[in-house]
Amino acid sequence: MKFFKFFLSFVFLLALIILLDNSFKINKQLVPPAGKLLDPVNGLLANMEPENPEVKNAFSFNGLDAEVHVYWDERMVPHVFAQSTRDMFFAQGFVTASMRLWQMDFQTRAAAGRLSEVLYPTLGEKVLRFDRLQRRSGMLSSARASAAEMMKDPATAEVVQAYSDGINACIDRLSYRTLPLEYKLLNYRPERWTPLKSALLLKYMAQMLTGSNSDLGIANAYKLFDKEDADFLYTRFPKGTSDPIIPAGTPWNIHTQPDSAGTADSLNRPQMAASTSFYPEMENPFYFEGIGSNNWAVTGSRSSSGKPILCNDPHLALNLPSIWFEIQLCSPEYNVYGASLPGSPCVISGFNTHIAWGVTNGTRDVRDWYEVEWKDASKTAYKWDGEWVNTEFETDTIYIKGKDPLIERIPITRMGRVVYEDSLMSEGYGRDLAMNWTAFIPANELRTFILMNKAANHADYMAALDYFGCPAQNFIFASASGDIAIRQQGAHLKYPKGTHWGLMQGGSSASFVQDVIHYRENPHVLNPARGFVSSANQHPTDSTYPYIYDGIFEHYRNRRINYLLSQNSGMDVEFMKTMQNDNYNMIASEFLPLMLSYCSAGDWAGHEEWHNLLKGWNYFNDAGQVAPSIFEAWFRQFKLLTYDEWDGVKGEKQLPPTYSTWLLLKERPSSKVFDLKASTGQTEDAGAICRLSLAKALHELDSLSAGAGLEWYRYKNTSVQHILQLKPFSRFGIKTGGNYSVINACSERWGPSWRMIVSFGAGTGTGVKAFGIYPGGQSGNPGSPHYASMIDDWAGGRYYELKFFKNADEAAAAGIQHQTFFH
Amino acid sequence: MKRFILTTVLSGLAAFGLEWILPWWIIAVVPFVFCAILLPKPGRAFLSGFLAIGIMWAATIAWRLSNGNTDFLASLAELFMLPPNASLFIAISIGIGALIGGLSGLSGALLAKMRA
Repeated sequence: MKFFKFFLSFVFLLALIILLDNSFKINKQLVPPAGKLLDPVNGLLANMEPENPEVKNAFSFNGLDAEVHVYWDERMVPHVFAQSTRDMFFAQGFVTASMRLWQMDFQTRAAAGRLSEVLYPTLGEKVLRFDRLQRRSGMLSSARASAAEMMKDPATAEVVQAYSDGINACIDRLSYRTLPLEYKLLNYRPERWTPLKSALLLKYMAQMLTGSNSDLGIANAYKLFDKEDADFLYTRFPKGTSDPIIPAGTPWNIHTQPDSAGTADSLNRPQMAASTSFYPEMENPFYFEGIGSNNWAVTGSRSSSGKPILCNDPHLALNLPSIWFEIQLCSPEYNVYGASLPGSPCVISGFNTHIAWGVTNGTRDVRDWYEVEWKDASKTAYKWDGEWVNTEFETDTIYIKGKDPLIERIPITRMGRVVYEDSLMSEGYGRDLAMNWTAFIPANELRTFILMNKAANHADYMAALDYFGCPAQNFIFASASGDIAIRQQGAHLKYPKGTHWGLMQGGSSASFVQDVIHYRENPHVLNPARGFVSSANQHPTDSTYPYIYDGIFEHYRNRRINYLLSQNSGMDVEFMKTMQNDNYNMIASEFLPLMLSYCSAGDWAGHEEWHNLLKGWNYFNDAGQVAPSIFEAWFRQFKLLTYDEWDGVKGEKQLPPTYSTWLLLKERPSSKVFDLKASTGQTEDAGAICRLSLAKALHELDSLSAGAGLEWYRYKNTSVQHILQLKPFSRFGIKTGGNYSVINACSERWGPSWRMIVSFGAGTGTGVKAFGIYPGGQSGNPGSPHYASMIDDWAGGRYYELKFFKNADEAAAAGIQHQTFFH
Repeated sequence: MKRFILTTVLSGLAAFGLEWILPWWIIAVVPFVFCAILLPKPGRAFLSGFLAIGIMWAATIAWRLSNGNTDFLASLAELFMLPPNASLFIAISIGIGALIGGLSGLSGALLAKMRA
C-alpha cells in the first residue's frame, strides 16, 4: 500500500513534468512546453528586458587581431570601431546576432526550405509544401553556388567567414535562459552559422524582389482576352506615361551588337503552347506586386547647401523584427553607416564620408518559364532540338520534425528546373514547366557591397556594381564632391527580336535565352542636366533602348517624385522629409474625375455627404481623411468588375498595370473588356461598371461606417507583424496615410521599411548629416523596449538624426554605452 | 514546525540556485530529496514543496518585474490563448511551480515512509 501511494504520486509527478517539458497537440492546437516556458528563472520571463537595457561591457574572443570597441547609442545602434577589416566584420556578426539571431536563423531556414524541421508540428502539410517548392525553385542549390563564388574570392571569403565567426561566437555563449524567445516557443535551438547561410539570405532577398511569375500570368491573360485587347492592356510602353529612370535623350553607349536591335515595342508572339487550360498559379510567399521603393538624389544646383542630398526608402513587408538593422562600421579601411540585412555582412543602404547610395527594385522580369515535353512518364528524357536528351536529377532531402524525411527528386533540364509537376501542380494542367532565373547565375553580390561600403567616388561605385547579378536594383549614388548618378544593375538576358512577354517556347536551343547584357550597357546616367536622378520602379528607359525587357512597372510614384524634384530648388533635409511622406494619390487624381463623370446624383442617393467629400477631395491620402477610403473602396470594386474575366480562373493571375486600365477607361469606354461575363442579357460599358462598382462600394462602406469609422488609416489598416504572425508581438491599425503608388507607400502589409536622407555639406566633423528611421526597433526581442519603439515616430513622419562618428574618440565622447571586445 | 520551515526554506533556496545552471524540472527533484530526508510526512511534505517552489517562483517574478514591464506579461498571456492579463499569467506560472513542488515533496515523503 505504501508502495502504491508512492508509485502513484511519483508517476503523476513524472507525467506532469513530461507534459510541461514538451510540446504536443490537443485537437489540432499545439500546446507549448508550459513548464519550461513559465519557469520565471529560465523561461519566457527571462527575455524581459529593463527599460534601459545594458549591454555586457566586455567580451573576450580568440582570433581577434586587436581590441574592438563598440558604442551603443540610445536607440541601440551599434557603432563598431575595429583595427582590421576582419575584426570589423567579426564584430558586425556578433553584435547583429546578439540582437537579431532568431530572425537571421529563421529567414535563412525559410530560404533553404528547412521550415519543416521546426514548424511541421505546428503548421503541418502547408509548411512541407512550402519547403518542397523552395527546394525545387533552386533556392538552396543557387545559394550553394553563390557561397562557392564568395569563398573563391579571397576578399569576400575573409569577410563572410569573419562575419560567420562572429555570429557563432554569440551562439556559443547562449544558454537556454538567454535564448531568444522564439526558440523557446518553438522548442528548438540555433544551429551554427556558415557562409552558406549568408548566401541564402541574399537569395531570400532575390526571391522577395524578383520572384514574380508574370510570364505565366501574361500567358493566361492572352487566353482570357482577345489579342487586340491584351496587346492594349499589356503593352510594353503604355502611351503618355513615359517618365523613365534614365531621362529620355540620354545616349545609350551600346558597343556590342544587340540581336534585338529594333524597336523594343515589338509585339510578335512566340508560339504559345497548344494546351488550352490556364498555366497554374505559382506560389511565391515572399513576392508581392507593389513591392517597390523610392530613391532620389539632387545635385548642389537644387539644394540649399550647394551639395548633393540623397534619399532612399525601400518598400518591403512590414515585419518585426524589422528586415533592416542600423549599424556603423569603422576600421582603417571603412567608415560606413546605414541599414544592414541581418545575415549578410556590410551595409546595404547607407553612406560613408565620401558617398551615399541606395536601392530600389528593378522590377524587370528575370524569370523565364519553358514548357517541357517528356519522352514518357519516367521523365528520364525530354525534347531538345528535335532529339531526346537525358534529364539530370537533383536529389534533396527535407527533414521533417516528427516524421521521416522526404526525398525530393527534381528534374533539371537545359531550360531550367522543373518546379511544378505531378503532386505539386494546380489541377487540370498537362505540361510540366521548367524555370530559368537569373538568380541561378553564379555571382558574388557580396563583393558589390564590400566595395560600395568603402567607395570614394563615381568610378568606385561603377566598379562595385560590376559584381551584382540578382536581384537587379536601381542603385542611386551621390558624392560629397558633387556627383549624382543612377544605374540599373543586374544580370538581364538578351531577349531576341520579337520576344513577347509570356511563356517561352521550350525544347529548342534557339528559343532558350541565356546571354547576359554587358553590365556597362545597363541603363545608367551621371549628372544629368536636370539636376536630379530618381527611381520608383518605373521603366528604366523609354522605347529607344535597344534591348527588350518586360516587367511590372510603376507609373505614379515616379511621376510625382519627378514633378516635385523638377519644380523645386534650394531643397533641404526638411523638404526631403516631407517629400518622403508625401501622400498625394495620383491614381485618384486621374481616375476619380472620369469615374465621377459617369455617375449622377441618383447613384449617390443616401450618400450625398460622401459624394461631396469626394468632389471636394484634394487627392491626399492623409491618415485622418475619409475621402481616400471612399475612393479606394470604389476603385477596388471598379478593378474587380472591369477584370471579371479573371473570376474563377484557376491559374496565375496578372492584372494589367493600373495606368493601362486608365487608358482603357479614357480611350475605350465601350471596350468589351468592361462587359461583365456573368450578365448575359446586357452589355456593360465603362459607365455601367463605374455605377455598379460604386453601388458595391457604398454597400461595403455602409457596414464599415457603422463600426469603427471610415478614416483612411482605419480602412487601410496598416500593420507591422511578427514574422510568425504572433498577434501579441504585432502592431495593428497604425495611424499613417499613404498607399501603394503613393510616395508614402504604406499599404496594409507593405511600406517604407527604411527611410534615409543623406545630406553632404550640411554636417560638421564628417561633413555629412543623415537622418533615418524604420518601423520597428533595433532589438528583435519582443521583451525589449527597443522592439517596436520607432513605429510611432515612423508613422508620424518623424526622423532620427543618425549618429555618424568620425572615429572611436568621438563615439567615446558621446557618453553612450561602451563595450570592449578583448583579443 | 522548525523542521517544516527549515525544509521549505532550504528547498526554495537550493531550487533557485540550481535552476540557474540546470533545467527547470530540477524543481521536481529538490523538494523530493529534502522532504525524503527531513520531512517524511506526506501532508506536510506536500505543503512544504508547494510553498518552497511557489514562493521562490513568485519572488523571482517580482524581482524580474522590478525593472521590467507588465505589458510584456500581458502579451505572454495572450500568446497562451489567455486574456491579456499579467496577473493571470503570474498566477498560472506560480501555480504550476507550486503544484510540481508539492507533488515532488509528497513523493519524497512517501518514498521515505515506504522504506522506513
